[in-house]
Amino acid sequence: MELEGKVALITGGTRGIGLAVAERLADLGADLILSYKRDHERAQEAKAKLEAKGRRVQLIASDLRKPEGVTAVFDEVATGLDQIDILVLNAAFGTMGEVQRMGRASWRASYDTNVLSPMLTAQAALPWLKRKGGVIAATSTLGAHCAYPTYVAIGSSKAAMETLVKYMAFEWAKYGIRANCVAAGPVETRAIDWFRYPEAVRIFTAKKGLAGRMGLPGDIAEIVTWLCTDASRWIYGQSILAEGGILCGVDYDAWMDDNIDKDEFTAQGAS
Amino acid sequence: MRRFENQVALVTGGSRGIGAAVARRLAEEGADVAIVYKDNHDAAAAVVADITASGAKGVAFACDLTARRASVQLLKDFAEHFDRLDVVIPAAGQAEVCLLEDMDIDTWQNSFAIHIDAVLEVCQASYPLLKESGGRIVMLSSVGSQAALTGFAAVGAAKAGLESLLQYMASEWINDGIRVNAVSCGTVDTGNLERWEIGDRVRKFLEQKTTGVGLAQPEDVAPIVAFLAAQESRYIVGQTMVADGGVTLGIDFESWVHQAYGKDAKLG
Repeated sequence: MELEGKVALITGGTRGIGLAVAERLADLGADLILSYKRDHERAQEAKAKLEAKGRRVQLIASDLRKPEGVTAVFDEVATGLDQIDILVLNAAFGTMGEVQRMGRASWRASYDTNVLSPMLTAQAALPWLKRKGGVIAATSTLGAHCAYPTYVAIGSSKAAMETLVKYMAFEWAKYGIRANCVAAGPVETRAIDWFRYPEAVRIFTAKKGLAGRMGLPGDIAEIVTWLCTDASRWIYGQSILAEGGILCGVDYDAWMDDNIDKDEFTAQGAS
Repeated sequence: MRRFENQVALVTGGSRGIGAAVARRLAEEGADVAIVYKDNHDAAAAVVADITASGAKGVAFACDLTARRASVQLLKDFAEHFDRLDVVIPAAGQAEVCLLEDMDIDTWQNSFAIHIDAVLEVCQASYPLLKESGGRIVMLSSVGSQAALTGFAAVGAAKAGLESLLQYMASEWINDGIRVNAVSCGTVDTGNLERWEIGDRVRKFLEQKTTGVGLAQPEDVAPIVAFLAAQESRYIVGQTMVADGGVTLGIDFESWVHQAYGKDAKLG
């Protein structure tokens, strides 16, 4: 197995896209360190699932929004598996709201979790990643590339994170470290329910997107996993857009609702 | 051209560098200009004198835009001197060179505080007046947001956030008649090169890379900002216009080899 003997640290690794990445990395033979914020029960479930694949799993509960939370993770890594070859920067947070309503505290909280924390986490993981060379893969959002409704705190902080990852690639290639991002369109995770009209996001993605359905965590996890393997060895500092084709083309007819069944929208409960 | 007759502009970071050049330019084109500066009173007074010499009204406001509610107070003070606001240029910035390995939290957070938080807040505070006038915002970004420049992570990442913020602001506020765009500059001669340890190398690189253009002066950027603030650019919304003398445009393998290994290095 390609990743046998390697250890992957995944932030926010016990649910959603993070967990889907953990499962795939486990399938390829990697042992796992999963950080999560506070849902111990869910973390234990994830651990059991991954251990059933024959992997070692270390769980670390920590609030990465705070710098001391990042430090705490690596204190535990040192006394635990004491190895990191793959770093998946996946933990995210954001306050939904329009530009005009965005207050300083919620703005800061989004940037602290989505930008400062990945910076501190990668810095702290660097001594381990340097040992034999390693990879960094970060999950971002299409909302960093175009505007979504009420998404400015997450979208703009993820844009900053993508550029941060580019600088990691630029500065740390000399240590044999590669860093890249996957920018995902709408994916069926709990974050979709943070939107004012989650059903509108689902319908749009399925109808406008060329894939014809909502994104699933596995769709993104496949790409993140690939960026962690040697097959992607020539890719440095890039953001891979994975959005099911929702950006491809402008369909005026559909937008003018000639081809849309209006009853479907209300029937699915988006009111 | 006097495209800004009877209009009022607010320029942060207006006492020096790009902000000062934009303030002068808008004043020359007829705008009354409020400049915001942090602490260099003499530099601010000099810019106000230039504005006044153009026949426009100029007022300088001393303000640390990173302080809590600073922008709200700034716009209150502004309203005591001006009865409208048409153009906002949030140009205040401070670039520190630092590699990620050496990056401390304060350097990182301070960069985000001035390059993005303060921009958001000054635009939010200006929003009611801009809505009344059908105003325009022109932000200043850096090509360090799209390409990694040595030691520029704290600014580059913050500017990437800014370019995304501007997409959101543009898409949300275009319905209120407010147009938001940005100019993304290469390295501009604003006095930073003298402060940076790598300044000399940057200057040399740019002289080679932008043959015949050289390092940009603030006056090279000001007309582009003015264009995006003027009526003629009315169909441009939410865009970042790159102005870097072609530095990030392409790769010249041959001149790179010559620069690294000397003019006599064999290419073939």
